[in-house]
Amino acid sequence: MEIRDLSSYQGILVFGKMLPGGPAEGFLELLGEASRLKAQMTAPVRITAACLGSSMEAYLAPLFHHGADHVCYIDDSRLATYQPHRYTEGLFAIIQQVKPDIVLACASYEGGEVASAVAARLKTGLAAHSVSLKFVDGEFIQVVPAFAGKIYGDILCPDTRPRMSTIKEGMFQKLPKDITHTGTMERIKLPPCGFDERIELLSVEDEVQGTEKSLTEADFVIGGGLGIGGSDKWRFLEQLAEVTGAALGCTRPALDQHWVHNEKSMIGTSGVIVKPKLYLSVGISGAAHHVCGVNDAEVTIAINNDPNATIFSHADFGICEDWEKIIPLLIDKISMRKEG
Amino acid sequence: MKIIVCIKQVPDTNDVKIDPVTGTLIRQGVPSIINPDDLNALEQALRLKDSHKDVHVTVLCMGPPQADVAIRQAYAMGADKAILLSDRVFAGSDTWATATILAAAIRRIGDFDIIFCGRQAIDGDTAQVGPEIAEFLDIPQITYVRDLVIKGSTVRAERMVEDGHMVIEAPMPVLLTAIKELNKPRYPRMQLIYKAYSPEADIVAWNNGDIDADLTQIGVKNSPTNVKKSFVPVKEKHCIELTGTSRAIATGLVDELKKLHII
Ligand SMILES: Cc1cc2nc3c(=O)[nH]c(=O)nc-3n(C[C@H](O)[C@H](O)[C@H](O)COP(=O)(O)OP(=O)(O)OC[C@H]3O[C@@H](n4cnc5c(N)ncnc54)[C@H](O)[C@@H]3O)c2cc1C
Ligand SMILES: Cc1cc2nc3c(=O)[nH]c(=O)nc-3n(C[C@H](O)[C@H](O)[C@H](O)COP(=O)(O)OP(=O)(O)OC[C@H]3O[C@@H](n4cnc5c(N)ncnc54)[C@H](O)[C@@H]3O)c2cc1C
Repeated sequence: MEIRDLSSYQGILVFGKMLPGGPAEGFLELLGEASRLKAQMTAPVRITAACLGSSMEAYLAPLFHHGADHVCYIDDSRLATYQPHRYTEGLFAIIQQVKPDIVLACASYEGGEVASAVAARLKTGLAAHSVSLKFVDGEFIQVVPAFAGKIYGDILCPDTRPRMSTIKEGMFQKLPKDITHTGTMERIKLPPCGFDERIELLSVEDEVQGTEKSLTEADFVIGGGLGIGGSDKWRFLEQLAEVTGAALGCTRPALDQHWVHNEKSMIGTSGVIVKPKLYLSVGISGAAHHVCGVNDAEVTIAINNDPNATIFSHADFGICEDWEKIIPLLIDKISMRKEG
Repeated sequence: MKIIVCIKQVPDTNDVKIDPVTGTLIRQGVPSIINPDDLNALEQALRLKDSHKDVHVTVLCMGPPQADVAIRQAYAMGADKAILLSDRVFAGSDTWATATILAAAIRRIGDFDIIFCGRQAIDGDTAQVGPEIAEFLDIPQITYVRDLVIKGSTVRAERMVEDGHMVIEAPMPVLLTAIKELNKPRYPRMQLIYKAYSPEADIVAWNNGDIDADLTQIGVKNSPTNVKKSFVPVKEKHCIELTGTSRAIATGLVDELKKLHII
């Protein structure tokens, strides 16, 4: 490994997604985490938000209001739609310009692959899906899950810079909006992109379905698993979600059964991470893949008719029963309360 | 058309137990399997072989000598050639170093049109190796592929993105990563299983002498990241069981919802 002058890399760079009307929630969350890291660092630290997109200049202000001191961006019509080779060039160019010590990138499908390609090119380390970032005795530790979240590893990146991490949406909290917080803007150009003439984007289709309450923001999340037993029975969970204002999520088998159509409803390592006040798990066995998406619920209640189900060791309250004996009654009781 | 499929041998995570004290894996008795997404990559390569003339599929696996089982299984599914990359100097490589080694082996193989990886390995779980290999080989990449068509010297792939999907056409050589939605992998064929274990099979073991990866860039010492320690994340909660009649339980739940100001 070639030794580089590490001290010339300074500050924290956050790379997130720009949506048509402004930065994605995940972007702001990463800025929040960057601000918390900044508070732990002794030298003055500048937080840069790195943005790639097209016609987005008017929408950058929230980045400052949520912690950015500096926005370095490339506004180019070729970045209107995500394309890995262009986004890789773009992020690479911004990092070369800013030379950050730490890079936090959103671990979306797109963010993960761009961060990987950029890390490869920068000859530096990339911690995957970090769940916690901290300084311990001056060492920067990036905690990542492996084996479906059964173990965590403390990842160090001692000899290269920047030190890069990808982070899933929902993992960290954004700062409260502060409209007095401002910073500087810097626009750079998109360099030529390697395979541009030869790669053709034929179509793009959104598959975001429904208007379900967002799982990542809900105070009450209900999760349904294979134990529900059928799409007709799934309706009970939908009804319970409706009367309680809960967001309804699921496990992978429930999605595979097509009881749920929105892929974004899957909770766990390959899906979303939720942090509600209450998580009610129904007919879910408690596989590590799923449980790591709900670890941060304040209170977890599990309903499962198998007394040995793993889910009970992750729950504060356990109900060892057939869910069909409980949930319909619960719906009735809550509906009655509302009416009466 | 020459296809190289990168497969990783992994412990079946469903069976993995963790030593809660040391925070490490208890490997004993845990079956090793080919990483699930890699089977989808291999299956798609084999389907191209079934439906097109002159398709040659090479399987490439970096791992300990025990990974021999994995490459023979891949061979028995229908691959033409299998290469096991095994060398002490590879041990402990992070994704960057792993991709460096695999890219060196691919360059050594030389002739290729498609590099097919799985999206993500179920043990390391990073999904970084595929994109890193593409970068090292300086070829386009299409990840999260769920549908694939070959048209002359280009591939047309339907790939998932966070909010939907895209259809992309890219020239070969190209690196693709497969997700489980792509296909349903076949089982090894009995006849081929026999062949996989006969001298006739085109199965070779390579060490670093064969691929000449830069020794200053690989292995645990030269990986940019290292795992300082691993540990078991969740403290088991103390679970209070709610018992009684269904009615009593439902009432208890309502109380809990009230307490948390949900209703
Ligand atoms: C690489 C990889 C990634 C994955 N990522 C995810 C992920 O992100 N999210 C995810 O959820 N899964 C994921 N999985 C799948 C995961 O490993 C488990 O298979 C899955 O979480 C199990 O779902 P389940 O609990 O619904 O089903 P099961 O494990 O089948 O459990 C069903 C449970 O329902 C109970 N039950 C049955 N009938 C009733 C009844 N009438 N009343 C009450 N209880 C009942 C049973 O006792 C059982 O415990 C992944 C797997 C792999 C290999
Ligand atoms: C607790 C823990 C945490 C870790 N965290 C990180 C981290 O944050 N960053 C990091 O850089 N490394 C990390 N590593 C190291 C990483 O697991 C290894 O580098 C591993 O060799 C490759 O990563 P992966 O399993 O995540 O593969 P992925 O990148 O998920 O694999 C994607 C695809 O690449 C191909 N592939 C991967 N490995 C091989 C192989 N050996 N042979 C053939 N094809 C292969 C397969 O097609 C596979 O489907 C960690 C290891 C541990 C034990």
